Formats: sequence, structure tokens, C-alpha cells
Amino acid sequence: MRITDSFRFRVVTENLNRSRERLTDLQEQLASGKRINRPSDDPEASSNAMKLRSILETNFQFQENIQDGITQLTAQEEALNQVYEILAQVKEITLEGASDSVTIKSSLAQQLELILDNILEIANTKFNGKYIFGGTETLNKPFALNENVIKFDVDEPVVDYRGNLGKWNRQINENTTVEVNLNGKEVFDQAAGDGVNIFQMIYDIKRLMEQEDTKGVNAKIEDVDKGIEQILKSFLKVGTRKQLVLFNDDRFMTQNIQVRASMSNLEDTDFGEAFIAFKAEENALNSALSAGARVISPSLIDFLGPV
Amino acid sequence: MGGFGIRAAFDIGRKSLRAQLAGLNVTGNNIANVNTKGYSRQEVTLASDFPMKTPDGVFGTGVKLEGVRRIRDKLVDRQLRNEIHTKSKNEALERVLNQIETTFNEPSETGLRVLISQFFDNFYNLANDPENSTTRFNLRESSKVLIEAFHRIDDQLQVLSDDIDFELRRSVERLNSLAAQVAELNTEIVSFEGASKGTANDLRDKRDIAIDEISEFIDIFPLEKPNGMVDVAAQAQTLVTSNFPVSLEVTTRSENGNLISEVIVTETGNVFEANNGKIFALVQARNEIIPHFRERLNILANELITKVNSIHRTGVGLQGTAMEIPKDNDFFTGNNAGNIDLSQAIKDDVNAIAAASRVDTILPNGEVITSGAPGDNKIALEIANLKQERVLSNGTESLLDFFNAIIGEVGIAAKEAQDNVRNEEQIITQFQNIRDSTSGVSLDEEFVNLIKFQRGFQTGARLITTIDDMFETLINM
Repeated sequence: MRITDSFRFRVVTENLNRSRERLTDLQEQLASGKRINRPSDDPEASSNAMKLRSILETNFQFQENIQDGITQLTAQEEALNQVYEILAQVKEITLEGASDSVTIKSSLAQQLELILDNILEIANTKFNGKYIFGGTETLNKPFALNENVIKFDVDEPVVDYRGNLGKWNRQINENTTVEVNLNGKEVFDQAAGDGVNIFQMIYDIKRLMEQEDTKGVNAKIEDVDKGIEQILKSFLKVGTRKQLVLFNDDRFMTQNIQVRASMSNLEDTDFGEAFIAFKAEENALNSALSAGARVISPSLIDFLGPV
Repeated sequence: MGGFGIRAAFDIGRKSLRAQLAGLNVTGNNIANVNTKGYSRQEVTLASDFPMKTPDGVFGTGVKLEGVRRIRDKLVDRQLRNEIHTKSKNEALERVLNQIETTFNEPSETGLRVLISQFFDNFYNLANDPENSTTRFNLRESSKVLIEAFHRIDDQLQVLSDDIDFELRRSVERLNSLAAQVAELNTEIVSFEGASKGTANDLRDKRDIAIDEISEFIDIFPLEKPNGMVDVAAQAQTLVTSNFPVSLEVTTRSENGNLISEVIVTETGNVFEANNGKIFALVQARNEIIPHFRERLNILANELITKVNSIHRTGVGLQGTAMEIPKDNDFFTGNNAGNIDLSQAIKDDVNAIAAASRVDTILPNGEVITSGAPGDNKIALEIANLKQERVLSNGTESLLDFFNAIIGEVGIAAKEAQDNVRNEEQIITQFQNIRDSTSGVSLDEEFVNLIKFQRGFQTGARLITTIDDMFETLINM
């Protein structure tokens, strides 16, 4: 083949260009730490990496929902714990009132009045701006004392429930929502079946004590036990939900580690490999430069004197 | 005088000097044009002159200058041009696709994908805390950012389309001027070659350069006619016939509501067809590729608007702010990436964002009171769950899947164009090397020629002085 000057120059320039192009590419990979900087670098890997990133982001949001759920459930748990402790007190007082030593009954009744206020306050607990036992009526006090009953002893429930049965659902994974609230009705006011209306029960015991009806008080002990059981059930319900929610959080944490690892495999520069490639390419460029310099310069002119 | 005369010897010397001088001339021209684009190396063609028959035998009569020829391989020219239009097509496509890729700006933490994701996440946050106005403000802000991103991408694709139109017009102008050049050179070459013997080497080089450049724009079939003129034909129409160039222009017409740009022949108004080259690529990018991606983006935006609205419509905003449910209880307005916007009600008041489901109470007098509970998050949760729902492509893709597929498509197309360009570059280099190997100037070779012709000239001159001496000897006899 006849090698002409433009041929020689082209070969040299193109080798240098190619080498520099590869170096720039490797340099970008090393500097950004990413093997893929735009989809066309590797469409398949980039598409997979985007899917994985979406999974991570979605998991992250589910974990946020989970955290929020845990916060709400914990608030309910704490309130229920307080109610439980108070009901234990109610049981003591009731047992005391059921015995025949009459003298202290009025003071027991006074204690019960305070306890009623106390438990009402807990039932109206506000957490993060929301009444936690009001269902989805979160902005108004769910329980209100019926003044008519207190003042005129009319035959009406002592406490009105003004909330609703609405649920606070939290999406904890793609397919599952968990209720993170118990409404006030199911916690405090299960008139039907095995349940009791805790406010009414306390008020009734108080009234019986005031009337010194020992028999009547005695008959109420069973109700107090039912009330305690009712609170324990709610407590258990909240605990089970918390468990489920936490289990999902763990699952996401494990999954996230795996997803991050796969993403890194797809996207991240293998520094060792990239650096070796960079070094090799640098050597190639240096060789191309020195070879180019030698190929370009000599000409017959250099070897012939003036003619 | 019979036989071989001294005058004939003088003649040999004279012809020799002339031939060597011509050789030097051509060598000089080659050296001077070593870096001229498209220059083909030239060569003097020398032949021994017609011999003279004498009683003493047959004698040569020296050298004859037959002409100067251009060294060119027409087959390589044709092969090279075939690759050139494929390369420039792919180069143009690569540029457009890279720009589309840049417009979408993925993978990134600020691209549309993340913004869509954040939009839904903010609905989850609203579901977690529906009474809180901060979550509502956050949701409204993230919706605004998402809307802006849709607008920005849509605008940029439009700008890209306009840029391509501009480039298309410029390319067509250049193509017109090249066609005119070829036609003019056709005329010049014929008149030049008719008037003198030999070929119009430099004019032919110029014409080849022009045809090379034409093949960057469109796929062509140049055909040299016996008279030396070249006709340049494209797919269905001719571009140059002898000394008549065709004039092209770009027009825009409406097709199915979209504006389409076309290259037409000015005289006839017919569409000028090209199957390859830069012009083909630009028309394809302008009329098909960009509209395709805009359409995909519009589908995405429209689905987002429709699905979010259909759920949002069934909900109610936060009560307690004189809630009157607007007739059109929508979240978004618009129906594509260019006009998507927030509903006026939500722009005015974040509490108009519906997180709660709606409860209609019918009063005894028949009046309907619509209400909702402030802590109800049913609607917010339903909208948030749209993120996972497979709502597109016949229920196989979620909004994010659909968007990822768009990015995948851009990436694959851009990579393909890039790979094609790299391949073509290598092939073209091969052909250019072959062409150079034949037609290129080698300075070493020319330097040798220089010395060769110089020596030839010196010796030729010596021949003449020698014969002159002999004459003098004769005269002084």
C-alpha cells in the first residue's frame, strides 16, 4: 500500500482522538463514581437501575408511613396504659366500697369523681394536633361530660361520644394498610355485649357509693373487671398492629440493603478496574504520542542536502 | 539529408527539457496541494515519441508529453459516498437523541421520575397527617415543581424541533448551492476539455468535493456521462441534470393536527425524497422522533391528570374553612404535558386538596349537606397508591414504569446512533485511507520526483550543449 502524508497524519490524529476519547470516558467514570452517567451509556443497566431506585424510594416512603404509624400507635398505647392503671385503682376503690365499713364511702365517691375527670382527660388526649380517640373527627374533643346528668341527675349517659368510627389507615407496603387508631367508642364505650361504658360504669359506682348501696357496688365489681379486660384487649390490638408494622420496617431494611447492592453493581464504577483501564489507556496514549511524533517528523528532506 | 541528422538530436534535447519541466511543474503542483482537501495527485504521462525510420535503422525521437492525468479510483469514491451519507444520518440522529436525553435529564435526583415519585409520596404524607397544613403546602409545592418539569421538558422538545427546522433550512440552502456548483462545474469542465486536450483535473477535483458534500445531505447516485458532465440523482428525483440544478425548499404543513416539515422541489412542489443522509435524519427527527417522545410525555401527563382527578373529585377538602365544594373538584387542570396545571381552587387554598372522602347528608327539607372528617385520609391514600397502580399500557405499567420505558427508549436509540457513528467512522477511515493511498500526495515521493526531473532536466540540458559543441566542431572544420 502506498502510504501518503495525509494518510499518516490521519492515522496519528485518529489514534490520539480515540485514545483521548476513552480516557475522557474513564475519567468521567472515575470522577463521578458512576459507570452510567446517561441512559445511552448502557440502556439496559440504566433502565434496571432506575427500577431499583424507584423501589428504594417507594420503600423509603413506606418506611415513613411506618414510622408515622408507630408514633400514633405508641401514643395510643401510652394512653391505654394510663387508663389501665386508673381502672386498677377503680377496682381497689370498688372492692373497698363493697365491704360494709361504711364510713369512707363518701370519700371514695369523691375519689371516683376525680378519676372520672382524669379518665375523660385521657380519652380526650391530643397528640400532634389530633384527638387520638375521636376516629377521623380529629379536631374536636371526642368526649364531653353531660352537665344535665351531673347537675340534675337525669337519666342520660354521663358522657357523650362526638367522634366517629373512622379509621386512620397507613399504607405500610404495596398491598397492606394498617389501622393505627382505635376510636373512642370501641375503647371506652362498648355498651353492647361483653363490653362496658367505662365512664358510665365509674359514674354509676360513684352514685351507688353516694347512696351507700353496698350491694349495688358489689354487683359492679364484675363490670370493673370487664372494663379492665376491654382496655387490655385494646392494648393487645395496638401491640399486635405495632408488631406487624415493625416487621414490615425490618423487611424493608433488609430489602433496601440488597437493592442498594444490586444498584451499585449496575451503576457504580468498579474503581480498581476503571483505574487499571485508565492507566492502560494513559500508557496507550503516551505510546501513540511518541510513535506519532516519530512517524510524522522524518521525511526524505531530512536526509538529503540542498540539491 | 538522408538518415539520422544532428538537428534531430537537438530536437530530442528540446523535447526532453520540455517534458522534465512539465514533470517538475506537476510535482510542484502536487507538493503545493499536499494539504488541499479533495485534491487528487496528478502525474505527467510521458511516452517515447514516434520513431523515425532511416536507412540506418529505426531511431527513437525522444520523449512525448501526452498530458497530465489525475489519479483517482471512481469505485472507492462511490463506496465512500455510500458510507458518508449513512454516517451523517447517524451523526444527526445522535445529536438529536443526545439532546432529547439531556432534556429528560435522567438518571438524576431532580428529573421528572423523582418528581413524580415525590408527588405521590407527598400524598402519603398528607394521608399520614391530613389535618396538618404543612403537609398540604408541601404537596402543593411538589405538585408545582412537577408541573414545571412537565412544562420544561415539553418546551425544550419544542425548541429542539424548531432548531431542527432551522438546521433543515440551512442544510437545504447548502444543498441548493452545491447542486448549483456541480451544474456550473459541469459546464466549465465540458468547455475546458473541449478546448484543449487532456482532462480538467482541478475542476474535476472540485466537482468531486461538491458531490462528496452532497452525499452528506442525501443519498445520491452520480452518473458521469460521456461528455464529462455528471448527473446527480437522488431516490426519485434528479438533483442536477447536466447544467441544470434543481432548487429545493422546506415547507411546513399540517398533518393530523401536527406540523410536519418537508423538503420539496420548488418548481414542481413535489416532496423531495431522501432515504439517507443528514436531511433524511433531520426530517425524521423533526416529524417522527420528537413528536413520538412528546406524545409519550403527553400520555403520561394526561394519565396522571385523569387518574388523580377521578379520585380527587370524590373527596372533600379540609372542613372548617367555609368549605364549599366547587362544581369541578379537580386537582389538576389540562390534558397534556404542555398545559397541565393546578386547579384554581387549590392554587387559592391548600385546604381545597381533598384527603377525606365525602359524606352527603340529606336534610329533611331535601337539602344536601356535604361534609367530611378532618382526620379521614381515604382519598389521599387512594391517590398515593396510584404510584404503584398499573394504569398504563393496558394495565401493565405504572406511571413510573411508563416513564422509565420512555427513558429506556431514548437511551437505546441514542446508543444505537452512537454505535453506528463509531462504526461508520471506522469504515470511512478505511475508505479514506484507500482513497488517499491512490490519490493522496506523498511528499517523499514528490521529493524523489523533484530530484528525478531535476536530474533529467540537467542531463537534457547537457545533451543540448554537447550537440552545440558538436555543431561548433563541424563549423570550425
